[in-house]
Amino acid sequence: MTDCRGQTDLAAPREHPPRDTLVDEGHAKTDGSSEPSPAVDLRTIAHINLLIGLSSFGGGLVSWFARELTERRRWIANRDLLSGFALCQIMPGPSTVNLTLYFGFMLRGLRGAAVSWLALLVPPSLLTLGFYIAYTHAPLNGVLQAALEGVAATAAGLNIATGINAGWRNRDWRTFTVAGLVFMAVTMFHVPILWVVLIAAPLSLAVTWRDTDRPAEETVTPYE
Amino acid sequence: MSETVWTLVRVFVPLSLVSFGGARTILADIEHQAIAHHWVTHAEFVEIFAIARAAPGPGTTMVTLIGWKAAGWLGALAASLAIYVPAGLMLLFVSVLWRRHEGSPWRRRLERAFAPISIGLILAGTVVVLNATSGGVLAYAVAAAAAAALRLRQVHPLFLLCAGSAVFAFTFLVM
Repeated sequence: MTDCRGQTDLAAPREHPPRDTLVDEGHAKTDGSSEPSPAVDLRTIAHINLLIGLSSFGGGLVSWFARELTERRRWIANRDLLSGFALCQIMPGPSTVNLTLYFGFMLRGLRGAAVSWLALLVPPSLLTLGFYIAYTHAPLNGVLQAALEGVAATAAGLNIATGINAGWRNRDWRTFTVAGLVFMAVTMFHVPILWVVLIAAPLSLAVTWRDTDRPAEETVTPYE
Repeated sequence: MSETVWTLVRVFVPLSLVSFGGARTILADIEHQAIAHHWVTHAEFVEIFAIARAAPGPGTTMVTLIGWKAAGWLGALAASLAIYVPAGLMLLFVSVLWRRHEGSPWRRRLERAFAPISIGLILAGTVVVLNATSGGVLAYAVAAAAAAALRLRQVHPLFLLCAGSAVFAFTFLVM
C-alpha cells in the first residue's frame, strides 16, 4: 500500500488503530462475513468510484480508497481493508481495479462490484483514449514526442521503485533468486509471461514454503 | 478487421490472468505481442505507455489504446474487456474463498511466494520500456533518478513525470 507520495508502508493503520468493531451502525458489516450490506446506495458507490478513477493522475489511487471507505465514510473496518489490499495485490489485474471490485462486492454484492467497476474504469479509459486520439491527430512535433518519452522513462523509474520496495521488504536469497530468474527469463530469453508464471509459481512456493514466520506483506505497491 | 479483434482477445485474455499488480508485470509481453502483430511501432508503444501513465485511470488503459490503434473502437472495447474481465471474475471468485480463510497459512504462503515473481516481472517490464525509447542512456538515467527520488525523498509521482518530460524536451531542444 502506498500513499500519494509513494510512501510504502502501512501508515494508515498506525495513525488510526485498526477498528475491529462494527463501524457506523447500520452500514457495512465488518465482522468478516462476505454478506453485502444493503445500506450503501449504488449511486453513492458509483459516485465515489467516479471521483477515485478521475483523480488518479500519476498514481496514488489506493490512498483514496483508504480515506473514502474507512476514514471518511466508515463503511469498512481497517482490518478488512488491509486484508482486501493483500488479496488485491497478489491477484492478477490492476490492484486498484481489484480493490474496487472487492469493496463493491463487499458492500452490495455482484451489482455493487459491477457498478464500481464501470464507474472506476469507463470515464478514465475514454478520457485517455481521447488524449491519445488528439495526440495522433496533432501535427507531430518533436518536442512533444520527446516529452512523452520522458514521461515513459520516468514511469519506468516509478515501476523500478515499486519493484525495489517490494523486494526490500522480503530481502533474502529466495526473493533475489526467484526475481532474478524471472527477470532473466523475460528479458534475455523472451519466455512468454504466462509460462514464466506457470513455472515460477510452484518453484517460488517451494523455496519460500518455510519462510512464513515473518508476516508476509503486500507484494506490489500500486501506483496505477 | 474482425480477425484483428479476435487476435486482440486471444492475446490479452491469457495476459489478464497473469497480470499480477496490473499492466506493469505483463509489459514485456504486451510490447512483444503488439509489435509482432504490427499493431504499433516501437515509438508508438512508448507514446501509448506514457499517455496511459500520465492520464487518469490505471496504467492498464494502455491496452485500450493498443486495441484502438489495432482495430478502432471495436478493438478498444475488445482489448479492454479482454484485459479486465478475466482477472476481475477471478478476483470475485477468490475473494469469497479469501475471506473464508482469514489467517490461514496458505494465504501467507501465497503472498510470500508471489512477491518475488512480481518483482522480477516488473523490473523486466521497465527494461523493455527503456529499450523502446530513443533516449538511450538518458532514459536509464531519468528512470534511475525517478526511482531514487521516489524511494528516498518521497516526491509526488506526478511531479516526477513532469520533471522527466521536461528533461527530455530540454535535451531535444539543445541537441
